[in-house]
Amino acid sequence: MGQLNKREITKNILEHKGTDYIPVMLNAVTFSAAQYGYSMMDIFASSEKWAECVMGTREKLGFDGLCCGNYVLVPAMIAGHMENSGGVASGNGEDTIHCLEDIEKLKPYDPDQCMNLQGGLKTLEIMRREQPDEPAYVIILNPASIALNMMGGKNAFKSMITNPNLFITLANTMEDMVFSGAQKLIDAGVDYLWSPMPNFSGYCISRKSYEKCCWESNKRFNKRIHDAGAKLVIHTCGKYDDRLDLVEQEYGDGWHISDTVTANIAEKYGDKVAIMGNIPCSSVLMEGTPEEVYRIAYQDCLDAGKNGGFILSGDCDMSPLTPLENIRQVVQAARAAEKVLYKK
Amino acid sequence: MTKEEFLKKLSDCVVDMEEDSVVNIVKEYIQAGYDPQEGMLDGLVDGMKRASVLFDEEEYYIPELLVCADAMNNGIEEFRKYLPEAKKDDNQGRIVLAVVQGDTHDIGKDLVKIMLETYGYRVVDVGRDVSSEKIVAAVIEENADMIALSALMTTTMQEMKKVIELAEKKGIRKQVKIIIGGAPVSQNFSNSIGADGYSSSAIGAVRLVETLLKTT
Repeated sequence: MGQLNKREITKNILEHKGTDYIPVMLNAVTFSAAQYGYSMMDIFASSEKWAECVMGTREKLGFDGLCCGNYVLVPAMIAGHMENSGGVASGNGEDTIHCLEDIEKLKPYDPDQCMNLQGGLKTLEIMRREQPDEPAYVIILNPASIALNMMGGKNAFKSMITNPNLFITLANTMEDMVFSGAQKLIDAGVDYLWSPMPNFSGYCISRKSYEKCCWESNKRFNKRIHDAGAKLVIHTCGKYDDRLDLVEQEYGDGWHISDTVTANIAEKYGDKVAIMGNIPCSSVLMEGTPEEVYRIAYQDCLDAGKNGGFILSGDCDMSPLTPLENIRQVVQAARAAEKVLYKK
Repeated sequence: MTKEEFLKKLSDCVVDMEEDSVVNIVKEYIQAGYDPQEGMLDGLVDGMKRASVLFDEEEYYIPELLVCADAMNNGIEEFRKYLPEAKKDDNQGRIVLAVVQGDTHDIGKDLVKIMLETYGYRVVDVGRDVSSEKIVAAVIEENADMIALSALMTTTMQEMKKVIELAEKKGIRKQVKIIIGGAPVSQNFSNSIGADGYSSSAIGAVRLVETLLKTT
């Protein structure tokens, strides 16, 4: 690691400067809550509890990085008062936008009044104080993902065929609101924003629908984050191999990949973006033996780590049922791979 | 138009996502004096089966399949006006379908519902983020043959086990098959929680249901 701390190393990785350290960053918030006997409601309601379990679990198991928030509740604030398809006030803003006129009923968004965002900022502050060298990130839904939630998945998907203008208009409407919160996180010094896109993979929509309905919005929003000086990791959650050339133009500093072959992605895109992933969370991390976990984690490091632009991780959220020994094996695999890759 | 030409036209309406014009074709078909049941099965349902093949082949995706289903359902709704009452409840088995508690991702569930209904099963959709108590209560109330559970997250999949445990506790486990699906779920996981089967796709779920209900 030389003189650099882990935040600086992570920055270097996301800037493709190369390092001799492979951070192990696991999406382990639910797992961490379970370790401390907290429910997700408990930790959403308390920055102290969120920070306590995430920092404590990381320290105990020896992995890197801290998730300090899940900035996903903009719809609750602006559309919680609106009725969903069931005809009741949604509370969370989901499934409330079904025509262009509905967009006019949205309340204005004030990031300073957004409890979800403010909670994340407070958690970041605690984490910076307690574990100042750890890279901290926030999960953030991009405007297209938020549009899908606000329309309801089924309606949003249908709209991509029957009325794409509605989906696109809603995503465009969300852009300033979401970015105003992202700017607060950037100003507070978050190390990167982590943006998952589970609904836009090849499991759900065609490349054509992706290009038509999501791509322009993603490019514009992500460029604003990029121009604000922040780092962005795009989580290509699901099958993205047929559209990675589009994602390549979306200003991601890193890709957290899943459902693909790490070596192939590293070979094709590893000189352009940092790669994060790609141990299957369910079939390997949760169900595998420690030996299997070690072998797959080690191979991922060898496949993607040779230029120093790699972060070892699961392919998505880690199950609370994941055996602790399997997580320790992931960390050991990274340390062992460094010795081979970087002659440490 | 001959009956065969009508049936082809009905099928094409579904595959081509013509959710509005399908109703007019149904009306013309009925006016020509053809059998509504045949129109539904050999026309509309045939179209949905073709759409599901395109989905399997990755020509169609979820948006296309949903609009195809809308076209089929619009046509079926029109046909039902001309069906005798006794024909309206024909089904091959009752299946309670749910996304488990804590999970709000219901697109996979909706696809499975479309496919099962296309193949003649009666689906009792109890929704998403549903407690094990509510799922088991629906099974008892509907005298269902099967429970189909979905979860999209590694953080919610363990809820499936709770449903199975509750079914055992309530004494209904032997009379009901339980199948599971969803991105993080696997055959290993299915075995480990004592489910009767697992499918990685909506069309695979239909095949699994067919197999399991045949053996009961």
